Amino acid sequence: MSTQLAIALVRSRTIRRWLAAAAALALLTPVLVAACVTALLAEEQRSACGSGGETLGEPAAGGAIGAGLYAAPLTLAPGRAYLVGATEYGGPDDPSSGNYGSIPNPAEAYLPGHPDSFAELSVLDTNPANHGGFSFADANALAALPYLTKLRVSHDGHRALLAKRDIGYGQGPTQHIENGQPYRIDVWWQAARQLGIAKGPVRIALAPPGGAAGTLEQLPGETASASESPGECPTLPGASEIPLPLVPGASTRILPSGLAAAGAEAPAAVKAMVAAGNRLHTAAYLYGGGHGTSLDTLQPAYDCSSAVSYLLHSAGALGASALDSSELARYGAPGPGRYITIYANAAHTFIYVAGLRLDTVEAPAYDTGPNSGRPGPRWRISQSVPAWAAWTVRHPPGL
Amino acid sequence: MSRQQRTALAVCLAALALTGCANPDAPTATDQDPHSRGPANAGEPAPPPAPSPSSQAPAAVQPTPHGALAAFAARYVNWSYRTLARDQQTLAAISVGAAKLTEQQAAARSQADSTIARSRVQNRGEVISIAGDEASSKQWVIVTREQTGGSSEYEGLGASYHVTLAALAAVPGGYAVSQWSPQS
Repeated sequence: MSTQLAIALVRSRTIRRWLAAAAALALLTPVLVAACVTALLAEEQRSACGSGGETLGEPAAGGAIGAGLYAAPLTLAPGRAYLVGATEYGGPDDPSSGNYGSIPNPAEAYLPGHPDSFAELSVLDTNPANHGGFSFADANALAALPYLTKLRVSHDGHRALLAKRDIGYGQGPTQHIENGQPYRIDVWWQAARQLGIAKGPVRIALAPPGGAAGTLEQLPGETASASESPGECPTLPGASEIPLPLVPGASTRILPSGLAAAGAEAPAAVKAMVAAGNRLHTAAYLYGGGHGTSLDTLQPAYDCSSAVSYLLHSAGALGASALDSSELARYGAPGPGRYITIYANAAHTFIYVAGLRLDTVEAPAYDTGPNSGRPGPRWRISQSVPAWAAWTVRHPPGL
Repeated sequence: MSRQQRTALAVCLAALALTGCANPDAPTATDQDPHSRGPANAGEPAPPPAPSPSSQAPAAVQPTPHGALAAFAARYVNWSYRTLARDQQTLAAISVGAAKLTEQQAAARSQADSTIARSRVQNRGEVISIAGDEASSKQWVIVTREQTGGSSEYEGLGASYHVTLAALAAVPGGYAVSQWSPQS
């Protein structure tokens, strides 16, 4: 009887469909769960390393607290968001604030005509205004942003671009929001009403630069504003000597020290090459250096082709023996790569790693940056690819 | 010295000799130009003066300097996240020298720029003025007014003015941009 019932059920088209769906679900569920877990872990890793567009989590005080301060000034890094305290000021409920900002002429602004305004506040222990005057530099809660710096301010589902047109002392050392951050900005009442701000936490981020060149990071002398501290991000294998700083995006950026920070969104192979370039920071130039020895071992001196080879090897894109520049002119695939581009001819070679050039030759007509005047394999800044010779352009496949 | 030791020594000497000879990074007499470089790396070729880019043929040539700069600028400031890499390839095709190399590389990088794509960034602009530098007829100044937009952090940005320094090269049939150096 039960067998007949089972056969009858199996013969039913609807039952067969349900059985097929159940089998598919049973097979796919572990795959879907694994994919979700992987995605969540990746997102958590990205977030921790500052690659997300809205990354939070700065230390409550913003760093070490100096003398005379009750909290450290917070230096905003491009592409990062921060949760800080904000208050509302001005308008009919606050007639004492008047209609003009506190910055003396000629920067004094008629704020009702510029309702998209905020004042940067101070983290000084005491209000300098009580002792005679309050200067632009005294408003240091955001490290004294330049006048008219634009912030993206978000609160309660509302977002606005506000410009710094004012300064003020603020709430002083006794008040802060839940994460320990002090009140760092005062929002002009018209904008504050739109954002729903009275007094509490808001999310702030530097507005990106406008224009093609700023957006594409093609302005001269751009240096990463991120801290050289590696923060919570793990260093990569083989980069044990120098922790690898990360900056938002995929591009490599030079730091004031002359070392480079890798783009947090760049592939691991690119990050490995940035770390390798940093390891060469103290290496000298020596013609023939780095050849005839294993690229696994850091040498005291390199020439142009062994330096390029060292970076390629660090990413697994080359074996342990350095190529010479003629060989590099035939290396890999023709043309520029998405991240890595090698320029080579019979006499010289250099390499771009996600937009930053490592070169043993400093070309005075092209180069600026913190490694100017420093010979050897170094990260170089130039407004364009050096064109003092004709180059064969190559790249590692896949990069 | 035993036979084995002599053999090992001969192998080491041969390896040393090969290492020194096989590397074509070797500078030649014609490479040396002590007046054209900064800090010297002993043994490495000095950067010679930039070659004339007139031998490189751009895909499109403008008959006047003003036309060449205007055409390049218009393409440089008008793009969207969908067209950026293609526009940069076009810029590389219509330019020569350093500008060409830079745009080739920018195009390759743009294909991998997830920030531009994720935020659906677009840039629109117009050329406000083009002027030659009185002190150097080779340098030009271009002022553009641009509006960058997109989603996320690019939403609602205001229009702004930008300055670029540029150089031209005379090529068969007219002029092409050889250097494009945005200043702001």
